[in-house]
Amino acid sequence: MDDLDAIERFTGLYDRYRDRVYAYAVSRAGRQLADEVVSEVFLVAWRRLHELPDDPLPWLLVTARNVIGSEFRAAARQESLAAELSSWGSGVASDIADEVSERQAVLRALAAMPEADRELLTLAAWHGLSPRDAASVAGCSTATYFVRLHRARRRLEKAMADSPESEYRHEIASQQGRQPRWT
Amino acid sequence: MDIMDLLAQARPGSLDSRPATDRRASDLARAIAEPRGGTTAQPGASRRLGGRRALPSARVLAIGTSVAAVAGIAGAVVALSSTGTPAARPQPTAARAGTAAASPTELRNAILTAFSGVGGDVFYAKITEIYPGKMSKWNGVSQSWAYPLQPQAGQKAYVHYLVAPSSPGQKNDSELIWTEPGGGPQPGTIPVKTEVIDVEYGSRTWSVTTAPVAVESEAGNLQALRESIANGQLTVVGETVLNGQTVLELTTRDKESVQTWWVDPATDLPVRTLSADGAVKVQVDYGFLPPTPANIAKLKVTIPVGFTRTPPIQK
Repeated sequence: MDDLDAIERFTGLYDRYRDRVYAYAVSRAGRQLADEVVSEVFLVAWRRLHELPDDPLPWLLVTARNVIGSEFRAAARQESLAAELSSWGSGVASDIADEVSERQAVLRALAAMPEADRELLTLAAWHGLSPRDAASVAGCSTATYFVRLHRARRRLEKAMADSPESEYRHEIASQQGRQPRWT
Repeated sequence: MDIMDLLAQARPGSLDSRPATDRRASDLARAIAEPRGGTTAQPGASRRLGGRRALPSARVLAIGTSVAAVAGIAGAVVALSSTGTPAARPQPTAARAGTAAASPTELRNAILTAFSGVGGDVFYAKITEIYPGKMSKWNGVSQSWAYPLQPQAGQKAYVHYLVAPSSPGQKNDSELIWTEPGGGPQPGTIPVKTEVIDVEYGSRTWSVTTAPVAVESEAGNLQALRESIANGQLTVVGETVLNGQTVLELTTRDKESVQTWWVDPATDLPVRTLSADGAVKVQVDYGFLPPTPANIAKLKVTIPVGFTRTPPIQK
């Protein structure tokens, strides 16, 4: 691959995946650091362009995960993330539509969850990854991913059920005691 | 409404990138000003990246290991011969441990004992994944063969993955051959020189690549099955018939998940497991096969007539 080909490929990669990496970075490190994370990720991608797989998104998100964990001071990351999480649960009055209130409630519940749970839930719900890709981004086997996601989901449901503002609590209450169906 | 649907609808707008033309230009300029190649990576970066299976060198592995890993959540066994019929295995040492009359403790011990005797087997798993609604695009059947199931340090190991998603164009057949390293922190975390024979049905091409790949044998799946039996709350449901074979049905339950097992009472090995995460179901049928030439031949991919050989995956 000569340099012109490489630049063309890299530009295409950047145009196609920048927003996906940015969204992941915001969800893991907050908006304050997201641009810098994106920049670092694509710098690594450029350096290792010849090694990128055909479907590079999981690779890019794993790199973003590594960058977030290694390139920023923990305090700075926590500060940025805390600002982001607090913004998720605010800004909409709770007496607007029920649907909006419900969304705010789930975001607040999500923001209060452990970081590992939040990552699994958002990989599945927001970043559009298949279970296999989500597992590779989270650094675990697909089997482990399923188990961890299942548990995270239960914890989120419990948090929603405990939320006095959530209609979801009624739905959860009706499901309590129900066992998984095996077919 | 499902909690995941609710969560998907609540995706905050802050995740959407704002227009940043300058940002884009500076990212590109900064990157392109940097020399390419692994030797120029930041200290620690290549080491950190190289050990992750989702990363470049593991393109094929990312398919294979993840599919195979699903076996750890479901699981089942039929000792199959090369013709697909049950092959003889030594009878379990625990007399009639694998019957409905056995207590959960006896059954647990019998299965764990059986697991300890299959490390040298050819291992087969057929994984069926069923997703609900829009996720059904991920439905698919995957098969894997591995030999030996639990390779020792210095031993040559073989894995064959045949992935057949619901979209025929994504069908992929691959074979990996490597020498099992010793002394690593965890299997599959150290890239080792691996020969990858990859057949892509979508493009009707195949390739042979030798590259460092963080490859994981199926031993991790065996360990997951072992832990599920060892640590889960085991309940014997009773005898049932599965594909014409009398098997023992049981469940293992930990704090928040349940897995159903069907165990061959003749071998004390699982024939099938079924796991469900909400509406997602994963069923795995297993074979623990003696390492006969016919069974070892299952480790080889078949390159269909008319497929074109392409350059190695990397470079």
